[in-house]
Amino acid sequence: MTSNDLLLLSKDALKLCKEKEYNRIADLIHESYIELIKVESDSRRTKSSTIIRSIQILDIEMIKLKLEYEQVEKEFNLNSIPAIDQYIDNLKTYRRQLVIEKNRFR
Amino acid sequence: MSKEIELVESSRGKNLPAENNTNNGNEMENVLADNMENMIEIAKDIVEIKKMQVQSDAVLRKMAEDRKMLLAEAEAYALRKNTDSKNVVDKMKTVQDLLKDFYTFSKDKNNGLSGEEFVKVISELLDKMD
Repeated sequence: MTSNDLLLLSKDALKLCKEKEYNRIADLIHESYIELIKVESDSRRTKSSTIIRSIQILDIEMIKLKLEYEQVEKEFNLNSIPAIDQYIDNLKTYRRQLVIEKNRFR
Repeated sequence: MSKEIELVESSRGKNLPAENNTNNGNEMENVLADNMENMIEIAKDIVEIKKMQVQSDAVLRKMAEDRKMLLAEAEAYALRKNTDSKNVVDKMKTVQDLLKDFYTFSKDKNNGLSGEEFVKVISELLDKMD
C-alpha cells in the first residue's frame, strides 16, 4: 500500500466520520428540540390550568356573593347597593380578562 | 594453487545511498505535491467536524437554558396568578361575610344597622378596599 493509497483511505474514513458525527449531532438536536416543545407545551398547560382553577374558584365565590347580596336586598327592601353592583361588575371584568389570558395559551 | 576467493568490495554504486536519499526526498516532495489537495481536504474535514461539534454544543446548551427558563417562568406565573386570585377571593369572602353579618344582626331591627346605614358602610369599605 503506497502513501497515496493510505491518504485516500484516510480521506474516505474521515468522510464517513464526518457523516456519522453529523447524524449523531442531528439526532441530539432533534431530541433536544422535541424536549423543548414538550416543556413549552407543559408550561402553557400549567399556566392555562392555573387560570382555569382561578376562574372556577371565582365563579363559586361569585355565586355565594350574589346569594348573600340577594338575601340582603330582599330582607331590607333595597333596590340595589351601587357599590356592590360596581364591585360585581369589576369582578366580571377580571373574569373576562382571565378568560382572554387563558385563550392566549392555546 | 589455493582456490580461496577474496571478496573485494566493489566501488560501484558507492554513491548510491546519497542518490537514494535525494531520490527519496524528491519522491516525498512529489507525493506531497500530488496529494496536497487531498491533505487540504482532510484538514478541512477535520476543521468542519470540530466546527459542527462546537456549534451543536452551543445550540444544545441554548435549548437546555430555554427549557429551564420556560419551566421557571411557568412556575413564577402560576405563583403570581394564584396570589392574585387569592387576594380577589379573600376580598370577595370579606364582602360576603359583611353581607351575612348585616343580614344576621340586623334581623333585630333595634340593634342592627338600617339598610341605608349599611349601604353607606359597605360603600366606604369597598372604596377603601380598592
